[in-house]
Amino acid sequence: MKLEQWLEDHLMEPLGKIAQNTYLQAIRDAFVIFALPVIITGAIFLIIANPPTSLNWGIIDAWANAVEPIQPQLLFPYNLTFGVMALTVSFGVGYSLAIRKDMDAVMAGILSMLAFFMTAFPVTDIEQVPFGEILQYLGGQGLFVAIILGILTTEAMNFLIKKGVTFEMPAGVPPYVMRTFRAVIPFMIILPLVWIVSWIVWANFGITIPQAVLDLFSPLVAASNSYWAALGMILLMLVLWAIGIHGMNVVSSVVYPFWMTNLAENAEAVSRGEEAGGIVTEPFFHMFTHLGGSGATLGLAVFLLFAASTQLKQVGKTVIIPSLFNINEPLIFGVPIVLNPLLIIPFVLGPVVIVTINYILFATGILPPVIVQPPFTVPVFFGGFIATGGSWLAGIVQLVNVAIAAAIYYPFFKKYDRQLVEEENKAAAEEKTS
Amino acid sequence: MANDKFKLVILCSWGATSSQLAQKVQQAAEKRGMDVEAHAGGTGEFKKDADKYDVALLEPQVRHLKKEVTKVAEAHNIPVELVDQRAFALMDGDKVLDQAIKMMK
Repeated sequence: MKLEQWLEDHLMEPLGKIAQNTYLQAIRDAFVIFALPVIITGAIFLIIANPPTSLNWGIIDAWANAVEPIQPQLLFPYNLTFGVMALTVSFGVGYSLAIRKDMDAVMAGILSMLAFFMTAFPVTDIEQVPFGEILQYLGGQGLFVAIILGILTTEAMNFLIKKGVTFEMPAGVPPYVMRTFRAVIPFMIILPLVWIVSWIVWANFGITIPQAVLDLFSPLVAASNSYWAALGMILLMLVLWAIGIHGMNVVSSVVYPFWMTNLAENAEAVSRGEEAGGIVTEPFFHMFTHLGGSGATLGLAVFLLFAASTQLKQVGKTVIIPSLFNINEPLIFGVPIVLNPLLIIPFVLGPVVIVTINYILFATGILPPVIVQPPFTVPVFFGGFIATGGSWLAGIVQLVNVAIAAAIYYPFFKKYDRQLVEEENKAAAEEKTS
Repeated sequence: MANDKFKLVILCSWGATSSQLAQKVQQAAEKRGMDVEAHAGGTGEFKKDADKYDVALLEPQVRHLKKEVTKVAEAHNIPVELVDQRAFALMDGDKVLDQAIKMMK
């Protein structure tokens, strides 16, 4: 109890602050709610245009031959969806942040999107600029500018409205008219400001703002793609879970932009037929590590069904179905793993081993790169298959990982089960005598 | 009892486990013949439609968000509590319903 109070005071507070940070929440919503449908749609066409020929199946080869002459046309939906990923995110950040600030969310989203759009083009004769060249900056490579500008423009709009720098209409004017007039001055101030900054950057350095920021951030992106970064992320997630906090929730709100940048770079490389080097992406954790849910507990969920103790058996029946869809919060609290010194060991160790194995498999190119981000509820095997754009091997690797995690859990599970049976017997005996 | 008609919402981070639990609570309420509506949602959406509910329950894995949720809920006079950890683990709709009824008093 003392430990829990200490955790409550010293850990929940600062963590709560991170998880509740409005900017981080807005960024995560922008990806999870706004960008995900766009990129899932695009990824389908990326796969159609790039069949998994490594399978060496007649049917796949026929498919490859059929798509070859029209590959650019088939890649069109992919190019445009992934190509406006950052544009979508910029709308999402503006919109989500505005909701949290009780502002006109649609207007904030549009302003944020336009501001970002304005930075992606060189400030020259716009008719001379081929749109296709800009797409990469409106897509994966522009993510950081989209996020930063989304926050800045929304804050600026909020500031101007709060300071009364708007046309306020007299009462009785219809709300939609009021809406236009309230937005018009912030738009007229903020958009030209962004244009002037873009111009200054272009005139002095000959690059656009997304290019400049990407250069600035690229060491960070590279660092986020390393084994040590992956290990740090998984350790933090699991340690948070071990004390009962949604680790994925907290960690992802900080590193989502990096995961997405790596994912978009992979997709782009594959579409060009080049080698992709992004390893640390969202599916790297959600699909390939959190097998059956955070902590790779799928095997443990099965063991629970055969537990000798009534408590574990009962939990097993409740959690087995959700576990198949990678939902295991009830398991984590029911076993419980939270604050359980015995089970925390495999809970951390299993995923660390899996992350290590997977990192090696991806880094050596044995596994094809992740190019799709499936929803986290896609079951094991299918998740890996989809995420890699149709690799059976990835699905099999997932199953092997489940088995490895299960083997790591087994001795700890056995010991814990025996402990519980003893306690249950003792309790039953006491009841009899009383 | 005047309290057998109310709307409750169970919150988690993405709405995955809370919808399952809400379903269980709904079933428990129907068995008892109570006019209770059990909803589920993420903590993010709660801010928008907090006024629709009478009681809010927070799942244990998002207890670090309790302060934020409580702040929103207070503005609408809604009591907030953490779902009992064991009831959550076993998806015990009856127990959670009892908890909500107690909060309504």
